[in-house]
Amino acid sequence: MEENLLSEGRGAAAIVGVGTTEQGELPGRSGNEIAVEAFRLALEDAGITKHEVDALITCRSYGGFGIDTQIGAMIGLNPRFSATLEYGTCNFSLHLAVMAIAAGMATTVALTYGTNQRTQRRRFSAVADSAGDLEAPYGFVNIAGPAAMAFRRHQFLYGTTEEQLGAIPVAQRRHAMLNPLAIFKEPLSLEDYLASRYVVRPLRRPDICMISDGGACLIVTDRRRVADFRPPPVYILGAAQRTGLRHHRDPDAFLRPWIKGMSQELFGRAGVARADIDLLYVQDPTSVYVLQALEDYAFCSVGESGPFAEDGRIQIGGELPVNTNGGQLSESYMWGWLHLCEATRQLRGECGSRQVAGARVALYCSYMGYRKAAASVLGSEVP
Amino acid sequence: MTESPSRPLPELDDPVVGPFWASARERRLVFQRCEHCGHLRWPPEAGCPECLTPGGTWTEVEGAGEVWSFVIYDHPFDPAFRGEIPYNVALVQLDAGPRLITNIVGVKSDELRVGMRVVVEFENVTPAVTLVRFRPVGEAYAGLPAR
Repeated sequence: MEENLLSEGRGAAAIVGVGTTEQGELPGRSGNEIAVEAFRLALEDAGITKHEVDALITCRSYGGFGIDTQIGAMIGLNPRFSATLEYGTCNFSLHLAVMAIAAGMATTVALTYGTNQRTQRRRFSAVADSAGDLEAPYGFVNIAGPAAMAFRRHQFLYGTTEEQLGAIPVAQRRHAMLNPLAIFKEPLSLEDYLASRYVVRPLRRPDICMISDGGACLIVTDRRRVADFRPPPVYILGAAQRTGLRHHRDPDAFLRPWIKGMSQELFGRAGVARADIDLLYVQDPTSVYVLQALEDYAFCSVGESGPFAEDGRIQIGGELPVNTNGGQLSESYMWGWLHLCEATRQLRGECGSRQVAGARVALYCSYMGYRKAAASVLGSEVP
Repeated sequence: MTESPSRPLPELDDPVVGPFWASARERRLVFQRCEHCGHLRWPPEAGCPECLTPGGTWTEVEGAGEVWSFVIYDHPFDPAFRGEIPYNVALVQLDAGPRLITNIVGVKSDELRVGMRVVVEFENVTPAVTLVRFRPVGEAYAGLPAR
């Protein structure tokens, strides 16, 4: 009985279009214009016109742009349903799309994101973790601060080394070198990593993503409609979220203790086992998030993520390829949107020299700092 | 640390947080205690986040605790801190319960350790603002260094 209830939503919606603009520095265009370009590219990929889209979910971009009322006017649509998420790191937006479809409020949803935050010289010097004037006076700024603190604690508890952390940016750079969309394509060896400067000790420059311009769009539809679209569908097999809104009112907030049990719920709903996961994507403002995700989603025991990341295990060709696009560390900082575009393209088998042969199931994990988490299991077929 | 006047400063007039900074000025470390359930809260709120009772009584606590973790900023994300790099930021777990983002003073960067025992140190950074910082106490921490 419970299995029936759980499985009802499994694969209820599918990604049937992705659009990605050029990434890096795109002067002369607003973030919203870039989002519209991504929308046009996603429609082209999906093989539909804009009139087949009946819902719009946009992601607010840095500076207060990207609002549904703005984007809707620019693409000339009156969708049945529209919304904007404040922290639209794309799992949260994707989950809202799946819910709108499951509720019958939408059939085909466009999800858009675009930003020109690099051209605008946005500094991201604001408070590290939205506690405002209680933390900024002490110089606790930028997301690298909490991540560095989490990593130092992990080192203390488990003996994790900087070399083990470095295996993550090194692996992702190898992947970026195979990705035409990626910004950073110069080789990065572990030696190069260890020789690079510290930014927030113990984190170095390659552990932290660079602010970039760009856009991305996804088209998500009801599973009963997938035949109306050109590409093979990529099903959202399961989704789950957790929050740690109490934050420092609980101990160990930077280790996200509230995430325990999430992966079991997620894999149960998706009808997959952990061993079925062919590809792992982690939204990575810093490499530390990837390290933490390996434990959060139980690919290894708590404390074992350092050794797990080594020996090429997370590289293409390894046991669990992670962020095959290069991630935010080496591809582009798009609040996780490009991870989902890459996962979709991998599951369609379109990734050329970086294609993971036979990939059928992907897990995409994203975090809103140390206060929220969301994850989706994607598959090329519904189990 | 040399303070720059343009660095971010606390909002002393904030009705909820203001009393914390006013007490720091008097070298007293205070938190709101719930009159109903006794919970000592941080960050400050108008009511108790545990039992939802409005209000609370500012109560002085002993400023002793240990370093949960720390980082060293080598890059000034905020230009106001340019003159201070490298500087440390730590999360201190107080014996009384609250966990504070703060700086550790009176110690070199390479002598900082996770688990180090610390005690509160009030530092005037402007004529009106006193920050709540911490200083190592007793013998050097005997535990494992952070590798």
